[in-house]
Amino acid sequence: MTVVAKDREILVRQLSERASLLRCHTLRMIYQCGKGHYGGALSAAEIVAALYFHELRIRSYQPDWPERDRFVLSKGHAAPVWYAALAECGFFPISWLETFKQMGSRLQGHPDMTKTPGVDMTSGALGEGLSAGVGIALAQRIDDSPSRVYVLMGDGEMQEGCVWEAILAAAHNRLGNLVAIVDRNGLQVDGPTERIVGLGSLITKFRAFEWQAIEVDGHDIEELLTALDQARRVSDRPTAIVARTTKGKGVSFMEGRTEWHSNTLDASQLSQALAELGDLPCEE
Amino acid sequence: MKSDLQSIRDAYAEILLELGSQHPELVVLDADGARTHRTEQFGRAYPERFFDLGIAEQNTVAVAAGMASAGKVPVATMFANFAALRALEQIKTLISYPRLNVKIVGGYAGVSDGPDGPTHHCLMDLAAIRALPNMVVLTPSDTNAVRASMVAALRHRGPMYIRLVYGTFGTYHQAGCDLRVGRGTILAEGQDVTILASGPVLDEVMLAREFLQKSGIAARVVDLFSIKPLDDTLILQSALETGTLVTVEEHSVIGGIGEAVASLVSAHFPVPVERLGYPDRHLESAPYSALVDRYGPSAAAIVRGVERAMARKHGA
Repeated sequence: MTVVAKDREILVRQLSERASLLRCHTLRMIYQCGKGHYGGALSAAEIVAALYFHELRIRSYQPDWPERDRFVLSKGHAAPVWYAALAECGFFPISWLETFKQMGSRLQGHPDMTKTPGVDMTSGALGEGLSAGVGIALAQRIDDSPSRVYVLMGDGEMQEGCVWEAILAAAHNRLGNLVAIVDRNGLQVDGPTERIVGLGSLITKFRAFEWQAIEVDGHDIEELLTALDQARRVSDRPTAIVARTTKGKGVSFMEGRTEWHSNTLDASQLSQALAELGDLPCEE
Repeated sequence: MKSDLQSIRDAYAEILLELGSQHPELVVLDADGARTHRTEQFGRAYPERFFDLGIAEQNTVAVAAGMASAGKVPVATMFANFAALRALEQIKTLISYPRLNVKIVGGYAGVSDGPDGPTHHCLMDLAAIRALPNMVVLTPSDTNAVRASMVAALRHRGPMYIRLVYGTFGTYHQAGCDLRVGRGTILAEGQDVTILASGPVLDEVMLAREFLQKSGIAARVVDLFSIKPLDDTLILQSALETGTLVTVEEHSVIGGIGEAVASLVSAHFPVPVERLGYPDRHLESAPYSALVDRYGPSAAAIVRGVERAMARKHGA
């Protein structure tokens, strides 16, 4: 095995472990506040880990670094997994995670750019994040900035019309600095997306809208990293990474189950879930 | 005071161009209204800072928010009806909530797109936008006020909605006037009643004032200009000094300045308030002036409103 291949193998293993750690944080955060969006946070763990511990050019010690890459969590209900990543990156103390959704907390139920270090865009009203990402990408272009924008979307929110306005605008403006990652877990509040209002092949749709579109296994770090590399190589079109995922990934009794979109865990379920994830400690 | 009629949107296009050269961070967005709103002039001068995002107001508002988060000062110009109503939730979540420095300019407000009918009339935007925290709302009344409102917009850091009723109207403010957020202006003195005006209703207001003068009623005229925040001091002072208020606006009587003023004086210094605007109904296609005469605060309606206010003031 070459040194490069060995390094890559180590990187993939480390990112995979990070994803498990983010899942443990996520479970504890939502558990302590009673009820919350487990499923869609767990499905995005590898995506968030790949971005925050490898892809993004960010500085936790200088959150407003002008040259930083930008991340928009359009599926804002997955905030816990993002907050966990921000804390692990050092944007704020890990102890803040315990305050999630409590009165006075800097960690709101959906991301608030005025409260949380590292959060550059308020989001969570579904269907709006990609449009905001288009605006950021256009601003970066005006400034001739090397920065890039990554928007993490849910698949269900693609039923919102505004998303398609943004998809058109991004292609029209040839935003090569914009990457949309769709967490294609196939489930929304009322059931499978394909049973509610089917989205069909998102790859076909993105390509028809003149995007570069790449399909990956959203829990396979290697595939995610390769797709992110591929996105950076295309400069005249935005890139969509359609990441096939399992809602509730990593917790056997949550995987693929609609009712865990938002739900309540009891203490024994929490223990079981943490055990399945290796029960990674969440102290600083 | 009143000079030749001047076009609101021509004034808007001119001031945008002027501000474009002074403010490199200014970007202008439109939603297939570049010709309608005259933003194409800015687009020709500063193509790298102009974006026509097509018939997609929700996206346009959200794109503006993204740009502001990255340090730009976007002026997003759209039909008031589609900005304030169709894209209201984007304004709430992405602009008002994070206090982003976006200026939404709503063109063709009120019934200024009269012949296009109720689908394009916009008589409820103030009701919606006023309720959003952090928003500043300006309603310039003439071309000089339009210029002043854009200067104020660039001076103020935070979300703003500027409501433009298109048309040609008389000019009552001085050229180069300095209008401020939260400040109204007394345009004519009087001690019997105060007419509080919002938007380009001053031609009708002044006509009514002249008529009332002949019957011995001296009406003070205030251009409110800043709807949120209101000039509380000037309004309460006028209530104290003239004993009754008449509000005049090109907006539904629900949720506009009439209710804002009534709610202010009822809390601090209750005096009779007559609220003149448009009735709580969808109107019909017609030329602008016909709609004003039939449904709106025409000079005749203002005279009647003032007479009612005077009668109530004197306990009749």
